[in-house]
Formats: sequence, structure tokens, C-alpha cells
Amino acid sequence: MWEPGARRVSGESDLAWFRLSLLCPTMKVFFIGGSDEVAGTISLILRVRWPELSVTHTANAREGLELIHREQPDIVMLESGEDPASCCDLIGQIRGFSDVPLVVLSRRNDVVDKVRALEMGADDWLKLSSVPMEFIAKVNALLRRCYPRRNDHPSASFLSGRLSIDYRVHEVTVSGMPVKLTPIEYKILCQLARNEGSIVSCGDLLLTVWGPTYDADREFIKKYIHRLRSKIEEDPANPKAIRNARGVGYVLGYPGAATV
Amino acid sequence: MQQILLIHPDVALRQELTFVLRHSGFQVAACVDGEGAVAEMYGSSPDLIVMAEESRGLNGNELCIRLRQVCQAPIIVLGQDHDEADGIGLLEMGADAYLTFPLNVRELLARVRSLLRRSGVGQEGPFLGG
Repeated sequence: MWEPGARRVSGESDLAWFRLSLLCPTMKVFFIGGSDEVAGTISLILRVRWPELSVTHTANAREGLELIHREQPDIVMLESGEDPASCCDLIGQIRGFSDVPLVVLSRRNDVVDKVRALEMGADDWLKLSSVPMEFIAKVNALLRRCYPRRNDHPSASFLSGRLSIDYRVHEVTVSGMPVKLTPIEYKILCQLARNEGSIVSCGDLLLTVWGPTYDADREFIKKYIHRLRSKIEEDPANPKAIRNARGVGYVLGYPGAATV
Repeated sequence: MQQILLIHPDVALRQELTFVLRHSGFQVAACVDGEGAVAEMYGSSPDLIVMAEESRGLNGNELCIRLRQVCQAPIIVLGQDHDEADGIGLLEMGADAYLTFPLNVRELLARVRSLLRRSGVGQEGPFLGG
């Protein structure tokens, strides 16, 4: 199932007692750039704290973007090599469609590069020469900040008019009745829900749902919106929940509905 | 406007950082020591805390623990040393970032913005419409 060139380094441990108190015990780490040796070292270091973690490594940036989109890792690490500008470009591209925690690894400690990476959307900057405990402490601090209630999302839901989404179990209901959506339809609905009341452009939907490397025309989205409406609208010919923003995109929200 | 609580015993540095942060668009409340900071926390809820590694009253680790008991705002610690490894204990006590000495103001601002951006994401809650 892995793309050619992508390599998975996985580790297991029976330290179950230790895992209980940890954030993201089975976390997925994507490492983009750098060498297999560095990926192996990162895996070894992080497994001290996250025994069941898996590290997926690819040296190819485009492939890395696809993997982030498809696999939704818990944390992404980019190695900033000889060309820090390309690393910043990649951070910008990732931030175009994902809020994933993002750490830049570098052999250098150049303040200008560090500031640029942070301003582009990186969450932290780690020297590859850091001692293992520092590496672990920084990753843990970032995960704590990004997933404050990782195992406790009691109210992760969306409600608008007759429509409700329970993000924890990916369940959508209309007037209390469960509606079966395909993964793509669910992603489209979530993206619209996140921007309730605002126009989501077709370009944004293509990017967030299908990923940065997918090249499809807007008719494709039309087809999916049509199917989605047939499942959630009372009268799909006269849609009230997902409305057209002519020539731009779509808006989720019942007319007159107030957000509390 | 986002509020930053600055805790630093050094008057000159406290004034300089207050100036820089205010000119970067943040509201700043400054405290001399840990006890004053904890008292300040009960009267306001800062979006981010910048604190010295050592201040009068409480040491860095104790202050981190006390602050974490009353708020979840990101904490940036301004270290006294050149070695980032010195910040490990503080990161484990609840700090989000540890900046080494000498302080680079551009890096501090980049860290502040990065952490504020991130903490905003983490606080996304449910909402109800209709």
C-alpha cells in the first residue's frame, strides 16, 4: 500500500503500563527529506517514549505531500538541507491544506532560517545534534499543545438546523436519522461545516478533500455536491443546507440559522 | 488584541521586551516575579506567557507548575544558558518553548506567533446553529 520510495520503520514494545500515561502512544510520524539513517535514528529516539510509534520516510517532497494528505499523520518532520528556501516552500504547501504539527530538523542553527520556517507555519525547529531527551521533550511539548484532549473529545460535534455531525465517530444525522456518506462526501461536508456561513471555493474543496496533487475540474465537485444534497437535503432540487455561491463555490448553513 | 504576560526580574529587559511586544501588536502585562505572576493570573487570562527561567520567589520549574494549575496558555521560557538541553525539565513541567541566551527578539516574536496560531487551533470547540 506504500508508494515506491516510501519506507516504513516501525517498532513495538510491551511497555503497556508506560503507554497509558503518554500522549499519542501509537503516533504516526512522517519524515520528509534527509536520509534513511536519520529516519532510523529518529525512530529509535522517539520509541523510547512512544513505543508503538511508526516513522514513514520519504525523500521526495511531492510524495510527502500526498502521504500527509492521505494518511493524516500525527506529526510531520521536515529536514532542512542545503536549501532552506525549498523547505519553507514545502511548509507553505503543507499549511495550505493541513494543520498537522510540523517540526523542522536541521544540522544548522541559523536564526534567519529558523524564524522564516516558524513564520511559514512550522511549529518548532530542532537541531539534529540535539540530545535525545531534548528531542523527546520538544516533540512531547508540541503534541501536548496540539492534542490537548486527544482522548477526550466529549463535545466534538457540529449542529446546524436539521443537520448534525459527530466528528468522533464520523456520524452524520439529518433530523436525528443517520445518513450514510462516502468518505469523500464526509470530507466535503466537514470542510463546509468548518466554514459554516462562509463561501468555500471549489479550489479549496479540491485542495482539502482530494489533496494538493490531484488535478480535477470543478464539474467533479458538482457531482459530489449533487450526491451529498440528495442525502441531506429535504428537497435536493431546492437546497437549503448547502447553497450555491454562483461561480465561486458553496456555503453550508440554513438561511436565518443563528450560530450560538 | 492578544494578551501576553511577561515575567522577568531584569528591569531593562522587561522594559525592552514590553516595548517590542507592544509594537508588534500585543497587549502586555509585565511582572517582576513568579508570585506576582500567579496573582496576576487570577485577575486576567493571558493568551501567552513569556517568563524568565529564574525569577525571585519561585524557580522556573515551580512557576511552570503553578501557572499550569491555573491556565493552559502557551509558555515560552527565556533561558539563562546557551544550551537548549537545559530546557528539558521546563518543557516537561509544561513549558512550550525554551529560548537560549542571548535572546534573539526576532526568534521570540516568531515563536510567540507560532504558538498563538497553534493554541487557537487547539481550542476549537463545538458550535450550535439554527
